[in-house]
Amino acid sequence: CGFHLRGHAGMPFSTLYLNAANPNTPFIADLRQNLTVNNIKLVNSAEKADVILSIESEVLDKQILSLSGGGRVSEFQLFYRVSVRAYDNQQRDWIPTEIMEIRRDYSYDDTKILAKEQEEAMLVQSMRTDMVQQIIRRLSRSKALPPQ
Amino acid sequence: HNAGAEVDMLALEMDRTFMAMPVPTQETPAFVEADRLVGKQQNQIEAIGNAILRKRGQSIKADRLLYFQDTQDVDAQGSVVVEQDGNTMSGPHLILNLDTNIGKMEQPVFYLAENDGRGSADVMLFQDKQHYTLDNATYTTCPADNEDWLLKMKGLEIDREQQIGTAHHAWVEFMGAPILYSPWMDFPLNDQRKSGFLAPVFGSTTKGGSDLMVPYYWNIAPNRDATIAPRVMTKRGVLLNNEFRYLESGYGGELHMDVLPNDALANRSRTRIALTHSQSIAAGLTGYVNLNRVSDDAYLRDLADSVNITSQVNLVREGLLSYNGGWWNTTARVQRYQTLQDPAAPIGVPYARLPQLTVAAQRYASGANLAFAGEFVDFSHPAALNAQRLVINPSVSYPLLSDPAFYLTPKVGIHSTHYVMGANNAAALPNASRTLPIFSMDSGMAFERDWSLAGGNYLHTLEPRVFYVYVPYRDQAQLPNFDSAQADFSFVQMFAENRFFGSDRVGDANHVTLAMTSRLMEQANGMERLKVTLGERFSFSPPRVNFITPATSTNRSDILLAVAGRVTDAWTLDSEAQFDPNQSHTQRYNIAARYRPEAGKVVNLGYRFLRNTLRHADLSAQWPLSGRWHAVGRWNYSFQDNRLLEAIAGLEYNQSCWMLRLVAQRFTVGTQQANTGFFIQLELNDLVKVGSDPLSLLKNSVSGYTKLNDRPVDKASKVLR
Repeated sequence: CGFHLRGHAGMPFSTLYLNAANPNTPFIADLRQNLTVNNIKLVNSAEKADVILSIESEVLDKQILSLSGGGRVSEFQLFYRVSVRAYDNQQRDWIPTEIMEIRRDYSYDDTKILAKEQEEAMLVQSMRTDMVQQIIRRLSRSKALPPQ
Repeated sequence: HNAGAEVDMLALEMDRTFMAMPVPTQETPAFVEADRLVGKQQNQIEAIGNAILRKRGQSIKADRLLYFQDTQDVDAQGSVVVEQDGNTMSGPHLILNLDTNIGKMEQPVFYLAENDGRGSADVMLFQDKQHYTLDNATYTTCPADNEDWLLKMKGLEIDREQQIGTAHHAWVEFMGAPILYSPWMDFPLNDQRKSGFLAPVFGSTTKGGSDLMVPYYWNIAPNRDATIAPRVMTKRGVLLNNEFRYLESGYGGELHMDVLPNDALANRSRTRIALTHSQSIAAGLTGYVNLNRVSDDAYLRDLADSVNITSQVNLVREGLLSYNGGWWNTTARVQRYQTLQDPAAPIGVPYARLPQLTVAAQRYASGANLAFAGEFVDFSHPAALNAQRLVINPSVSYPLLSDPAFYLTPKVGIHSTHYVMGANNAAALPNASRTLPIFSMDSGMAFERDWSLAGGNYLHTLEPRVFYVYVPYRDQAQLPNFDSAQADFSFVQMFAENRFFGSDRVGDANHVTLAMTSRLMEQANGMERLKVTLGERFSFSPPRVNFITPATSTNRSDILLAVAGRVTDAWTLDSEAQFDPNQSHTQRYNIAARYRPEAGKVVNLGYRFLRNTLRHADLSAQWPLSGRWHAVGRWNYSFQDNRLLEAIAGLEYNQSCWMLRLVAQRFTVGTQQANTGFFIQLELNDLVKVGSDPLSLLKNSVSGYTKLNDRPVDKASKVLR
């Protein structure tokens, strides 16, 4: 059926400058770690980089997904949104500005608030891991797009 | 004659980049061109027919133009157009000194490029370079042939130095009828914040009656502001909403203090205090405080107007100190909750943590990942058992295989817990300890193939994953429970070592989780179009540690299936199902689909089912009707309780320079209680919003909602790029 083992495709560039609005978040630390594992050299200035990855915003949001008949929350939905753009020094986009979003649902119970706090932390961690993987996959398939 | 030479040089068009150039000064030369130029006397030029005088960034066009070079006076007559920075001003006659900028224009009609605003006046006086006054001025953002609304002012003073405009006897006419009046008002000319009254908010709710709020914004300093908003509710009285915000280099925060001195319905005074404060103390060391308190259990249900707030049950009060040392971090926290009881359905209050101390560390050493997690908590409760609990959890994992196509990572850890019992020990539980080893093995593979499907080129993946966990059984029935709960079975939870959240229970395990993920990604850019995941957990012996008695443990877990993706640019799908193979029924499923072909058109369809607990339909949409009318609404219904949870019905009328929103909302705020609210809002684009604001409600309730009169994105993004 044509399936084969995933190969060492590598990244379409070798050096990257990571430009984050807030560089001290766990997500940025995970992203750096993953880029390094994928043999990307992280450089400390945009001029020296093949590609500049710009993380313009990183937002965690929580919304009520469903209410009980008594007006209490029975499910929450977590949103994790990261605004991403990759471009090079010729101002060509590699990934045009895009807001990537990951969602997770979980059941909620006000009588178990301490346990639910830990569940939320675990879901946030998993969303962060997923987001890093999605960005790595997008980068591995990216190429310089003709300027518009 | 030097003017003639300059005229020849300048057959250029106005260039928009001129806008960025410095303000004209006396030294800047002026250029004059026209059908016919006449040098009248020394230093005096008369330009006749299509006359244009240019000075950097500014041009004056007229039928006939008289220019005195020595005094820099200009007298322009007939179809005069002054243009600067893309803004224009037209009128029959202009007298202006280019040097001092003192002058006068009769019956000016002006256009402001920034927001397509336009206006007129009887006369405009140029007092100097920074100050202008206008008599009987009008202003609107309506297009040229439309005067649906007009802001009229007897007098208007523009102060470019202070960036303030001041109007006297100002009123707004909507469809020819005056709707707002103010004897005096001032407004900022740029985006700077300025103290002043904000537009009044009025509406009505079943719980408060008619409602009028008049917010006053106080710009105390660039980094400090306050909003004081008295809110009159006909059934209850006057509620004072006070908000204070501050931001310094090392700290920042927000304080709310709301007071309703004498609630006529509840016969008592009611208050709310909320404070958030973040503080950076030293490198890596930060502090955080979050305090919330309301005077009574019904405060939010009675006085708040959104589900996000009325549904809150536990209000947190906590202080947190945290230190981040790179590979390790530590926190100290004190936390307590105020539980707002619904008299018809009271619940137990959560434990306070006074304090909670945590340490977490992670290091890589010769290919191994060493981790440590430690926690000490003093659990406090007025009625239930109090205790101190210490948890120590070191672990090490080592990737045996690590390759894009396959990985294999074993992990070994110790989970050690110690209790010292305290007050309210009715069951006379002894101090206790529990130490358990935890072994896990995570492994996976990845296969790929190129696939052409319906004209698109995709990368199709198959990613099997196998996760094994071993934890020996230990009887934990005699251990207390402070912060633990059985975890819902989910795609995240199935790859966790413990079946419980919290440290009071460590589930015995000898099980393997099998999962398969298949993705469809676009070859061109790696965008994920569809992701299908299937997973199940198989135990070699039935798990024995359980909260629920009698335990219904079996060797097979439920089967999870998820299908999700942005299938096309317009369609998004998100669905998940949980099937119980032991009882052969579906335990849980949910499906959410969204169709959003373009901004302003969205339909969300959702259904959620959880056996014996929840059956919800949730439909919401924003869609254009005929003409300029648009419909917006939501219907969220619980078939389990036969109860409407939230319903919203609204109409929006989008005229080119104003917008009318009519929205009705009904939502559940407690057992047998609901609140109904009406929102009527008239927004005059770029001037004022009058009425009660349904926008945050619509954004929260109708996923993908678009504010229809926002400026097109391409206009905004031009500025950004």
